[in-house]
Amino acid sequence: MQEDLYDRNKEITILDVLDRVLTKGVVITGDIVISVADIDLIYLGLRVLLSSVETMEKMKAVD
Amino acid sequence: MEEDKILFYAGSANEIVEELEKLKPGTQGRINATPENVESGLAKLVLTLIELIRKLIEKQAMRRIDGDSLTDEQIENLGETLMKLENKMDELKKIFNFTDKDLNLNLGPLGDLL
Amino acid sequence: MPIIIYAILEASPVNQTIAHILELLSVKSGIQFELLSTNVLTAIISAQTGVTSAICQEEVLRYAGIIDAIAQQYSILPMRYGSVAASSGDVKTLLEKNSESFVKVLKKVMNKEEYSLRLMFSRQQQDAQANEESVAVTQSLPGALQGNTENKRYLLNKYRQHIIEENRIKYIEHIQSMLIHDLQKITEFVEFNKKVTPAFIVDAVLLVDRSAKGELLAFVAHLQSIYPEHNVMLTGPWAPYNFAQIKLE
Repeated sequence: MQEDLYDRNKEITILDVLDRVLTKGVVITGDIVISVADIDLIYLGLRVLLSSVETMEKMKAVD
Repeated sequence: MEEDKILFYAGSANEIVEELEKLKPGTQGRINATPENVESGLAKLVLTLIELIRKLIEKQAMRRIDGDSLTDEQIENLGETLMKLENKMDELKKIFNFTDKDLNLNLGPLGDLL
Repeated sequence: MPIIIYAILEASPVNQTIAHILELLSVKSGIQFELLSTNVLTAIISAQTGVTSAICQEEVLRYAGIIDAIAQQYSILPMRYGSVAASSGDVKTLLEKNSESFVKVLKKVMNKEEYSLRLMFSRQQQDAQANEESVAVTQSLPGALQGNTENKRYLLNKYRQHIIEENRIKYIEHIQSMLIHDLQKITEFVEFNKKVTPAFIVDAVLLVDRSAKGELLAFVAHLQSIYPEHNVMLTGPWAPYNFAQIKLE
């Protein structure tokens, strides 16, 4: 019984942690301009997290 | 994380786990058009906007009723129209296989649209 | 080599003690941490190991656990999971370019920790509340909706939901402004999550001075006693995730 409560509390903590570390905190962002033949064509405001979106997708797949 | 971080709580842990799950960032909200699903992606966008407008209309209608300035005939018409609108919307959702949850957009820091 | 960034802190307090903490963490996690410093800031980083293709909950939790262990002793800005820079040179550029905003936010979170404060209805109480509300609504229906046609019944039902929702919003706003007022003595940094479910009346994050933890606990116990119809929950202390959202260049 006591152990069960401990597990549930841990679960609540984990949900709180995941929400924070996946959606809050400092995010690195940057801007990029895509040019073709030296002509600026597309301006992109992007997150320079190399893996952020990818890891998020994978996280979602896990749960 | 080794310990739990609950400093104070008097309620049931099971209930709150369920509720926290609901608050988790949604997996919907992205409209990703590919040749295979472009129809459904666009339908989702369009239906989301229609649903937004429908809910706005509904809200405004309630405010008019609150104001108590409508005639009996107007009330009847309003009821009939809103009902038909909602039924039509349900039909469309069924055709494209959308749930209410699907018809929402994540507006980033602004939260969800609906 | 890609670099994982965990946290950013002021360069000044960084001495042997943090190196010691990182050493202990290294032994536990098998990750080799490094400190990368400019004149004013330090980033806690590690090389990205080859196993990133197998991302799982455990790895995210391990990342959060590292931040948590450091935050218990230092005032830091926690990075979001997935903060990877292409090289340590990039990290340095990042620190230099954003030095001003980092320092500003670090000042704000200095010696403070984050807590989540939630007020909930239990399911039973939700039902009781809904019942009570619908009785109250029935007593104050506009005359225009009287009459027993299908259209009016439909509108009546909508109107009922509308009133219940309005009342709920009013109630939530009332509790929130009360909270902001009562929390003034403890902290000025209170933010409310706008997304509420019928069960969650309030979902707030607070940034509280380390020395005020006792006061906060006492306040939460008091809050529970004045709102016996809600379950009050406090979690923390967390690194200041919700107060470290900076737009970087």
